[in-house]
Amino acid sequence: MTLEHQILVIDDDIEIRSYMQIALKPFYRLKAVGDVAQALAELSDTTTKYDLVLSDIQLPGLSGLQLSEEMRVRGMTIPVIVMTAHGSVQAAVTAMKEGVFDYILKPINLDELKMSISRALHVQSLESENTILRQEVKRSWNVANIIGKSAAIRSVFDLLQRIAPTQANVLITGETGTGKEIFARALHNLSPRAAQPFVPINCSAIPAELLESELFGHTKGSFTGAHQDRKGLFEEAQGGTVFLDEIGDMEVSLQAKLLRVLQERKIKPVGGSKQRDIDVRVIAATHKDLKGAIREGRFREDLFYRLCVIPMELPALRQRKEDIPLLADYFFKKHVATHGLKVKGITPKAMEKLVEHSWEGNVRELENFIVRAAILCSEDWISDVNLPFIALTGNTDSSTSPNQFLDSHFSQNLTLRELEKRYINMILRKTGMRKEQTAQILGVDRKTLYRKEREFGLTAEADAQAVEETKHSLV
Amino acid sequence: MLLVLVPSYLSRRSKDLVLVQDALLAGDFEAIRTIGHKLRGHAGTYGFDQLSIIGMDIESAAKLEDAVAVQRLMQLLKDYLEHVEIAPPSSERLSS
Repeated sequence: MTLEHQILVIDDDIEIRSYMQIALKPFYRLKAVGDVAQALAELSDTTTKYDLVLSDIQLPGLSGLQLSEEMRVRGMTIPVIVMTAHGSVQAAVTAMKEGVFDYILKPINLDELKMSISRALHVQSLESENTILRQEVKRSWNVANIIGKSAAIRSVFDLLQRIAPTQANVLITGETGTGKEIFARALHNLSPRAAQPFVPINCSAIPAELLESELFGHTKGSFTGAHQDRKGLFEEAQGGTVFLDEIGDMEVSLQAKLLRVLQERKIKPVGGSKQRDIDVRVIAATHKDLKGAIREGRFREDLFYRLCVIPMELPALRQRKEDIPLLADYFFKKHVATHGLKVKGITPKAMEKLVEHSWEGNVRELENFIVRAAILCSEDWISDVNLPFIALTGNTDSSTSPNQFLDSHFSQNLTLRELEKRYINMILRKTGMRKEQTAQILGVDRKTLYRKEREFGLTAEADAQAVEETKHSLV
Repeated sequence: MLLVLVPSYLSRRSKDLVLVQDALLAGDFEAIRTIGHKLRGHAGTYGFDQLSIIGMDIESAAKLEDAVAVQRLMQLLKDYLEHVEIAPPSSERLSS
């Protein structure tokens, strides 16, 4: 028995106080006072944390029941046990209905008292644990549908919750697949602008010559094909949030125009002469080293500081490995439900392998992997045994060469377009969905890759579908 | 361990006798009732069950403002304190 618990005894009878001091001394740390005023002073003193209050009902001035009520009003959740003579049992029973934990009859039986105290402390400990766990779950595991409990992600959650309600521009950085857009959406959803639009723009996916028009709109006849006036995405986002993804890929000439918009809070559509007021919060994101780009003259320093009022760096999945089981379980349940699959779960050994993997494509790669594993799994459980056979990324498929790919697909008499789609998909998976590396291998620029991805529908869902098709073709 | 409290506890009961006597002379039955009530509570807690009953009777007599009954109970208390013997405890609760 440790003396970890501190009890406050309130009784105006010095004989009872002396008795408690001696009788409970071997088991608890104890302070005894004679009235409610002293008790409240003790309980309000933050230097001592009391775990339990043991109070006589009949006291000079305020009664023990009034003390319990006052504690409740002050938000003190310490359990209270009241002591009473036989004649006051009804009052004690009433008190229990109003939240007193237990009552003890005088004369006091020490065994009964110790049992009651022990029970109260146990219940209190469970309730505290429950409260902490509830807060922990609420705070850490799922903030605006972002899953994670690691220290690395919790610090991002804390930042997110602090800055979301503000108007400050945010620059989100992190490797591909770390969830930059999801965090941007969370910032928007937790902000006072949540009821207004969230407009994402991938600066890398839109050709430079069209981006200005996309962002700021255009007037009829301002360029070939501009048959009518069109609002830009900044205007579409009026009152809400604009998310400028891959801001590092924006051309320098357009960066100057964006800077002016951010400074003046006005836009001028392409071909237009009148400026229009805009009220948008700007969240930008990049996986690139913008400071390096500034040094090389590819990114404007003044724009960087305008965008990066608050920097938010997202950790790579390998820096938050303890989140992998949570994420894997979340994605598994999500996709099993979506695809109506029978597979029951992921075995602990398979989960260990998932945790060990480096996931260079981060959360996106993990999600894609789980989708494929769930769809291709022919057993009840995704196990470490069948994991390598369904693994299409990372270590397990690094041996798949382009030649092997072509050999395996030639026999299917695919169209050139289908072959192109599958090849791009394979390279995307090989690189863990890293766009820059994929584009390099394919010998195209990122914009072309984005265009091909859109054209072929190579999103996570489309990816799953492609896997399903592959599965059927293997049967 | 609780045995260490007993001698001083019993000596304070002799003081109770004086306090009750003074209160009776002053006609302060509320003070007598309080002493009886407390005696009832703490005597039983210390394991002096008979003393607890005396305390309960003092409390009842004081409520009725029955000076004769109070006098009789004071004599009973005095006799008890003169003759009480302390036996080793059978459990953690003291017994008289």
